[in-house]
Amino acid sequence: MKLLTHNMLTSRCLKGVTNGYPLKIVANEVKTENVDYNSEFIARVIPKVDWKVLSSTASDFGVSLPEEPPADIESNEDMLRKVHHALLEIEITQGDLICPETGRKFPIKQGIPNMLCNEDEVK
Amino acid sequence: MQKLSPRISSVFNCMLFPKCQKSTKSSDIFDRNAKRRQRESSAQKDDFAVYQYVKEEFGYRMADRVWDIKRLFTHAIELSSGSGFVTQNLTREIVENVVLCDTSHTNLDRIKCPEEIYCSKILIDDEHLPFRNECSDLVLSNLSLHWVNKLPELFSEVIRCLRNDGVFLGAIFGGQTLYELRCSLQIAESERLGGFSPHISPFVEPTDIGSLLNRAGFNLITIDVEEMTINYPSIFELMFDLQGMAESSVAWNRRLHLNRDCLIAAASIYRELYADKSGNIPATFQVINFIGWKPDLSQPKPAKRGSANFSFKDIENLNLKEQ
Repeated sequence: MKLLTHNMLTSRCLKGVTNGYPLKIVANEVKTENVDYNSEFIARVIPKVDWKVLSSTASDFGVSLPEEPPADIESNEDMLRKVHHALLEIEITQGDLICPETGRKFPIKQGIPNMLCNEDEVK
Repeated sequence: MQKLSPRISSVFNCMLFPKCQKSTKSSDIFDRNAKRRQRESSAQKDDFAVYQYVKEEFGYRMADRVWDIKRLFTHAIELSSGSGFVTQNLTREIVENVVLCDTSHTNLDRIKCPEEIYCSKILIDDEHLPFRNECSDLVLSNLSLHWVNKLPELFSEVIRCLRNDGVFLGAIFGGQTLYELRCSLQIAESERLGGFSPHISPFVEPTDIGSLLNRAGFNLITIDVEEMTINYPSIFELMFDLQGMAESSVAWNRRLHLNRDCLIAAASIYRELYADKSGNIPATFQVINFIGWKPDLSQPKPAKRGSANFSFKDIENLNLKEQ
């Protein structure tokens, strides 16, 4: 699972959860993959991701991003590459996603998070 | 024990087998867990790809519709993607990042993503979308919504996940789907057992989809219906293929057993009523395609009332004036 995907995921389908965002990551196995760099895509994606969540999760994986997206980010090649690395190259292959409100674990296996819920858990 | 005549033994069978199962929620029509298991077991078959012809064809057609929208989508979500039937026909020029969702891990493993698109895979159930608000530009759903219990809730979930001016493209089976099979089984069962139980799931009608999308808040809704007829040698090949597609019935009120007598009777009724000259039987798949947009200020709106400066009454004179 990439951090770009993590940025979209919530546990709000669970019973009693109002926000369920962001999910905590417990990573047991992390890979770094080489993914083709596309500066235009990164520039387009930055306003669409939740930056605060991205910068806090990226710091857990050793990538330090500023708390607010820099204003001149489109021309800042180094920063774009850093964001590219954080969003697309860090791949969590084994671990858990944990709901911040109920503590329910969603296991990640072979890089695929399992967000399936039982019938009695959902709204 | 004395041998029973076929007629009596079939009635006896019905009494032995439970007529239907019970749902834990009274409002549910479909057994989602059973569908999950069916999809997984179908995905694990070696000849899985052989059965995907219907979804592959409509996935291709839906990708064609995505191509008709002149826009570059940054984030897209494909619901119940199977082996990525829509995404495999897309390229970087139209979509940059796709999240493929399915209930079966094996299905997701089979997906061959187009190289230049960033793909990620998640196991989710269509009925509960675990995405944050306004995170996607495009949501795709190819032939899976007919097993969803609460379509109105799903549609409002989709609109929640879409960004303003985002688009929801879907294809769902309509009421005419497999009507030949439905009729044949009904006639056969009422003849053999003196009554019938549903074997084909209930489907939606195009007008329902329109009002559901409207109620969920979608704008600029477009709906069209297309039919595809596939010929099979007999009812058995048809049902075998349906099983391979993981499209066996999971309605809670389904009968778990289909009597052998009824099946053979249904096969000959099907042939008698619908077969063509060469003896092949047709099966109809009716597909409702729909497009809905999340409202945005930039979208075209109807002109103000009374702002027209030319009367429809004079429409005949319009060309003359210009000439």
